[in-house]
Amino acid sequence: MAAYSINVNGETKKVDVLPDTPLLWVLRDSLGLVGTKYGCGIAQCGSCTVHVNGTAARSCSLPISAVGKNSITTIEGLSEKGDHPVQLAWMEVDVPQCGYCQAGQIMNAAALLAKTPSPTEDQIATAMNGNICRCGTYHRIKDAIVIASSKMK
Amino acid sequence: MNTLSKTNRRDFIKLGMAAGSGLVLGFSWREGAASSLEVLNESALPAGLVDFNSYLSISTDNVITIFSPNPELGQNIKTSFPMIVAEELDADWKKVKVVQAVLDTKKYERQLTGGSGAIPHSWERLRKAGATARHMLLEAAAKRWKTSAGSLTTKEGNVIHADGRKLSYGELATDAASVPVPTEVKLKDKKDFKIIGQPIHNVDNLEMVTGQPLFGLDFYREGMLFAMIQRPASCGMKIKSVDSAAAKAMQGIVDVVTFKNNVAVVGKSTWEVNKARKALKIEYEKEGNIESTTDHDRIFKESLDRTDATVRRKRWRCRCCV
Ligand code: FES
Ligand code: FES
Repeated sequence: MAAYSINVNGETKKVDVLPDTPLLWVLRDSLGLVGTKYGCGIAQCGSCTVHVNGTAARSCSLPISAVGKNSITTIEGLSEKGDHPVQLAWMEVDVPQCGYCQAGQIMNAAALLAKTPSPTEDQIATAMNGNICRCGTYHRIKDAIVIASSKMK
Repeated sequence: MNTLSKTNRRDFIKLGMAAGSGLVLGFSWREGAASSLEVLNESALPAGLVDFNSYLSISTDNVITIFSPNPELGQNIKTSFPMIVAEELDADWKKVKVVQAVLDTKKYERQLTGGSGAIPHSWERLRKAGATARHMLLEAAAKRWKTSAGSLTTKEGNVIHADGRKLSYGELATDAASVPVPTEVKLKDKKDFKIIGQPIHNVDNLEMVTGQPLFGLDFYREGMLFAMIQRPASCGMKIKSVDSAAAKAMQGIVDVVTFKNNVAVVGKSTWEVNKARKALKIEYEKEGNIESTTDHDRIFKESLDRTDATVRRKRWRCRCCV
């Protein structure tokens, strides 16, 4: 076990875990931030997506020992009241079906729009390509990103 | 078409005041919904059917709580069930609070998801649950205004007098709880539906987009342990020996349990358990045929090539859907 001090959603959190523990399990098991979901554990599905210094990253494949001073944002910290433009757009078009993949989808979409505020359809498809949705909500995800993009202007 | 439904006393049992809320109605969940609701002779019903599985409550501050007993798996049942109740109740949808009922096999029946059966199965009883409560609220208002219930109307959570006066459901809830449960309730004409048929947002949207705990995986309790099961790699393999010494000695591991043909690692966190599972040394022996994909391919090809086919099922739908 080793003690780590990490920056999550603007707060410093201390945890005592094995150095190879993926950030995903630190968030879920140690910090009770269960919005970030486990899907595959091998960087193939995107359900565990969080932001590391604003960039989308797969928390299932990021060991706690590599987090360092980087700032982590999870779905719980994306906005104060669920009113980030992406979250608002998601609710407007009822993107989620079961909802399981959606934290990852939203975090990835928010990271995309932070860098590319007005993405083309191709840019959306490319950026979202690694986020799998078992319910097949892809068309609404795309619609919602377009709406979120217009809300951010 | 207005439907006059006979409501059996057993189906709507007034629970009266509960936990400071106003009107609480329980309605039972039974196989063969429509028919059992029309049974007039109670003694003709099998015993032990009075268990409840869903509740509608109206608080004095106008919050209508509808408990949804079925598991939500993305089919939106947690939104559609309450919509049906709220429709017949003439509730203000904005003030409806939906609560997922817990698994309670004694209290509830058929808490399952499958076969697209939930709405057809519950449609009528959910409507009756709403309509029954509405009837009782109307009666309570009529008593207060010293008029007949028939002269009153309802809209968005209020009973409305012919002269325009209003009483909210919340104001009436306590009185309504002492109104006798009607034996017959009038269901709405479908053309008057205001909630059913509308694009209503999923009641869990905010929870889903903000990452609130909604899923089985999100269940945590203070001090709870985690377990992972190592199963054989294929059918036809049987455990010969298990060496769990290394796994047991690992950080955070509480126990390693062998049961049937599986080995479970129990420990204090997901990651520790996952690591220890990989450290198990399990020897397997062949118990029977180990079927490979090639075997399956061959079996299917042989079946397709056979000319002496046996018809197993003529209907095109599976039995659960007919
Ligand atoms: S759980 Fe991380 S990508 Fe699937
Ligand atoms: S909404 Fe169910 S997996 Fe995407």
